[in-house]
Amino acid sequence: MVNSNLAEDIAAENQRSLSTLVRTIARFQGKFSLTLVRCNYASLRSAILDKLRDRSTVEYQELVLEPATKTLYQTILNAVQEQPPKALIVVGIESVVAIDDLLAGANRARDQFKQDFAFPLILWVTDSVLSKFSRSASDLKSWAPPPIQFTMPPDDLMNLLWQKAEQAFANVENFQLDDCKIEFLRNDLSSLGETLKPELHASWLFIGGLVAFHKNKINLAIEHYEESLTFWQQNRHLERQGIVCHKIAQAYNRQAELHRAGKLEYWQKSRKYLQQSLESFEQVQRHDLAAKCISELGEVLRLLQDWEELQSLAKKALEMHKIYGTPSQVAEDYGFLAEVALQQSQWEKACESAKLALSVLAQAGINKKETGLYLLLLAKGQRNLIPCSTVNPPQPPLAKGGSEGSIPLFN
Amino acid sequence: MIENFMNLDFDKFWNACNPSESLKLGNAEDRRYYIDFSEVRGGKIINVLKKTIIRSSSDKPTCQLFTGHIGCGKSTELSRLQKELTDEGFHVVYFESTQDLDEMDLDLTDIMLAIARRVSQSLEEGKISLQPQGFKDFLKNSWNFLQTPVTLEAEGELFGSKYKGNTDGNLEVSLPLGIAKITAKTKSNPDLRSKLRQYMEPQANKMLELINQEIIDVAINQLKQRRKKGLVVIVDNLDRIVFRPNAAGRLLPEYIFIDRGDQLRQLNCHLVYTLPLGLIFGNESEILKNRLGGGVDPKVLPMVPVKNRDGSECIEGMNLLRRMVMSRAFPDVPTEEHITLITEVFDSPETLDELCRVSGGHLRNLMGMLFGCLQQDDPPISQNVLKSVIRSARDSLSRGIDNDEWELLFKVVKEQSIKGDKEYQDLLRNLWVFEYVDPQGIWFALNPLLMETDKFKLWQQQNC
Repeated sequence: MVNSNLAEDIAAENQRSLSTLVRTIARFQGKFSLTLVRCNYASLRSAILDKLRDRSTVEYQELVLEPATKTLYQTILNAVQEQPPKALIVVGIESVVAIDDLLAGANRARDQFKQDFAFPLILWVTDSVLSKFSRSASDLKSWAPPPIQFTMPPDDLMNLLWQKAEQAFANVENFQLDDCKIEFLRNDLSSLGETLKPELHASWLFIGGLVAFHKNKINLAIEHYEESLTFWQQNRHLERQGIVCHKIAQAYNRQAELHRAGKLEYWQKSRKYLQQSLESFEQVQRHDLAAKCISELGEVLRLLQDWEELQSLAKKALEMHKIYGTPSQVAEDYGFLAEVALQQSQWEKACESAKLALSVLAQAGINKKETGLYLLLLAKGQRNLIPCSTVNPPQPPLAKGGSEGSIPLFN
Repeated sequence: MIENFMNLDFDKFWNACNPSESLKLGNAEDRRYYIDFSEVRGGKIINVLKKTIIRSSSDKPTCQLFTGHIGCGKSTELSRLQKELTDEGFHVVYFESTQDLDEMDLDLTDIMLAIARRVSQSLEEGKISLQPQGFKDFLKNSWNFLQTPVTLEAEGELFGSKYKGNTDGNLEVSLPLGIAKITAKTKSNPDLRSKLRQYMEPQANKMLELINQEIIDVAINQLKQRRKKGLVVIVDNLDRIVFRPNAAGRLLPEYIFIDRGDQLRQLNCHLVYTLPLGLIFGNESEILKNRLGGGVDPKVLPMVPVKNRDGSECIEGMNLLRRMVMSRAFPDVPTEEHITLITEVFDSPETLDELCRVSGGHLRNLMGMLFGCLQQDDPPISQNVLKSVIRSARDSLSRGIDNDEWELLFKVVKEQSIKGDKEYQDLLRNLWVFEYVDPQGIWFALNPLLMETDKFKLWQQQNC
């Protein structure tokens, strides 16, 4: 699959880089020098650092930067003050939140580095840190010889791609490309001249969409998703179709937020994709995913003020959520019903549904934050219920056992 | 004895090519490594700067501008200027602005404060006493202004302002210390910094006047009594000021050097300012020349040419670069003997040539690559080792270039010139394009490292 010459070249080059690192620590003692090590993957880095610990005959110190690190100089100074090391390896710059400030500060303090750190300082950087270095700390960067590079061997890279693709579909809400950046992966892949298998390609289009969405490039995200969707449709992969459709709908919802003038059109699109998504999940019996999807569809219908459709959907959702959902989802369904009833001037029905929503939440011990909406719906209903004594204050969190409001939640 | 010189001392060698060190010609050790490239860099620029200062009538201040790529040897050349002017009998104050100023956020008064501090500090060290009462008062008022609502804790007093009343203005705290205190306070706090500017900027002219009357004029008088010829201030590293918009939307270097150029040159001593290279290709380069340069163009320190305009090898440039490398290895061996020692350092003369060629005449990059080779293996440096270092340098340089920028770069290759737009300035600042000078004038070429990329090779195939 992977060109074996290339794999050998990369292995040899990494070997050479490792020796250079060992030598830098051993032979350049007693004076400040700055070395940048370029490596885009956390897993590769820790493998190399393990090997380095084995191979180095000189004791050196390692320093991991915390995301909250503010200044590089001070952090290093604190770490080496007690006993200056023979060499210092610093990792974790890419995780620093205020990285531009950190680099700009390091650039200004560069003379202090030279003055106070009489040892080889070896900074591990990723490509994105390196380009920030050029922007914010070009003087400091010009003090370093060309970076020592470590490249991910093609097979490992391929494994990583598969693994990430699986993760993206298995848990899309929490998916993060934490230890690498998509641009690096693309670069590295194109430099490998590798053509991906169609399935992997489609997965990475999906990930590309997630990343674009995250960066607020919504049109681009939709483009990637659509292209990915085509593949899953052609190959009748229903679950992934559902996941991708769901994400497309979310992207259109975002568009509606960003471009208020076109919101109705975006919501219509979102509705279409949510319906598709829901069907797919139902067909493969992914009730958990369907349960999430149906709530979002309800919300879009509400926004579109399609009350009839919302009513029948909410009823269906209620059935589904009672089995596969959470109390909040059930309450939301009652909320939809209450809202529909208000629109239809069926005040009693509205009050009833709103009370049901509140009681579900109360039973589950869910806090006030979520109850506000239902209280509002209830109040709206009650205001129209004349004379109806005075408006009943909402019932306090429900008593255990058999008040009229309590309904069996989970069968 | 000679034998001894001829042995390559590894530790000394790598120290001498550590790219984090630049040569200071005030230092005798460093002078052994210095190579004068002026014959291939469009004449003796440093000499021109020096002569302008020496020849000006004694009470007439000058303001000269100096620029070039980061790492092309500006600081080394300025340290030479400092040494030569000191030898001529001037009191020279040299400082790197980056130690005092924030290159992303600064204003005219920040530069003035830095100059006032450095000059007064240097005079103090030379036991020249100043009585800058007016300036101290000005600073004291600024300080008091800063203390109002923003901060609660009084971090100590300035110029004894706490004891106001029981000293009759004869304050003990020194001026440089006082300024340092203000800068330290505002350095880490952008709000305070902008507050201080609100106070100082409208009074910039008053401040200039006070610095002139109470510091510079007084100092020059005393210096003359000591038979010094005058006062020279060299501000290095102002070329690092970042091309980004200030609060008013004006690019910072244009704001400082063009909009405030009139005021920047108003100090009554000899001034040498460094400025960003991109500025002199900007659309307002004429205004820059007139306002800040007083009608004289900024002096540009170009790269050392490795090739001529027509693509042939530049023999003199390559010779000097080879000499520079060999001097770092054998500082005490006469140039004529270098040739016999090349194979102590490289596996063949071709490897040395390749190193010089691919540097494009950028001296710090050359040192960086040489250092990179030594990181990989002991000398003699093999062609293989050099190749691997070049690959790495190429990759890290070319990673950040997007397609639009490549198109601009190809245009530069075709036209050997650049325009004033911001895009072009980025090409220079990122060291993707180098500037050279020959008898016909300025011309531009791609950093040779970029010519090693697949992208460039493909373009070349299609276009040549």
